Amino acid sequence: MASALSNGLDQPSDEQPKSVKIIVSGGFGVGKTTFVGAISEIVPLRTEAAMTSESVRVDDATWLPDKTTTTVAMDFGRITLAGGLRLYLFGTPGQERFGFMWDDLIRGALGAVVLVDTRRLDNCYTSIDYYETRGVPFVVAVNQFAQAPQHHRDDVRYALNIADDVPLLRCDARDRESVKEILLALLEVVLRSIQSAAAVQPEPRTTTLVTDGA
Amino acid sequence: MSASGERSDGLVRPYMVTGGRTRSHGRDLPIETLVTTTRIGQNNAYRHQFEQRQILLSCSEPLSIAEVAAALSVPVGVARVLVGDLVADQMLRVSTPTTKDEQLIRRLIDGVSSL
Repeated sequence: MASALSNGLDQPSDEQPKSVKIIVSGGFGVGKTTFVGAISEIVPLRTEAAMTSESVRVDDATWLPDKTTTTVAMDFGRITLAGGLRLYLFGTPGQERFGFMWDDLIRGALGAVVLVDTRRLDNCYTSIDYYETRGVPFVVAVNQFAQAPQHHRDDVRYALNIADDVPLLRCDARDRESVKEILLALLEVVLRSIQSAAAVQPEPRTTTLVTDGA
Repeated sequence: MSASGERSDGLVRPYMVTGGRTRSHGRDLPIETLVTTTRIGQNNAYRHQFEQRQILLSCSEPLSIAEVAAALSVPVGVARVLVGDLVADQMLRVSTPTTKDEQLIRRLIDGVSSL
């Protein structure tokens, strides 16, 4: 298998560009593309990806769950950082009636931003469940629409039933600085998860959770 | 974006360029994988069919598989098959997967902060 792949026949192999991705998920119309566009260096591009969805309904005769492949549109953007490191942001819908099998898209992602509209909270349950069960680091960002009622953060946290250590922040998806803040909050969560994974290896200690009142 | 324009039978057409295959000879590449045209690829671009040639020409600078898909107006799965084949033929080179360690995350934090 490896023989088929060139190991830098033509060019020095050391100077390879690197890329990482972050997923931005949330219901239809919650502002995913706006969020991506606010910080992307390119106008968000659109492509389609096939996703396997498993329906909740179980076939009575066989007890086999239905599996269908749906095509969903994804908008994505790009940020190039120092040293040519590329950060891609993929916006993906996550409120469908069936739970998406996102494995293909999420594979290798650093983490995810779950964008929330407080008027349609139930649209993000699927995403939150998915990230929680797979151990994908995530933050919840409440996109503050002018028309939407302002809820206390604790109430939103309670309604979404998310753990205390998952940051819940307000944001304005149109505002670059606000989007930056959300991405930085996520990167801090990713950093902590990498550090704690590394710390768990040598000596199994009971971990003290420091809540920094995010 | 060709002269023939967009067709409503969009799903049939993309997979025709892959010969109906949904899997490539190459690996299952994550969508953010960067691909760059090799010198062999540059020299042989003209020998390829339209879609492959487009990829070889646009990847003189590294592009992700998702960007390749968007540039060709094909689903990600199709782009992945085409890219995988070109990689197997040494026309394209893929970047090695990025190791997600503390150093990388700190680089990202610094980078995003200074945007």
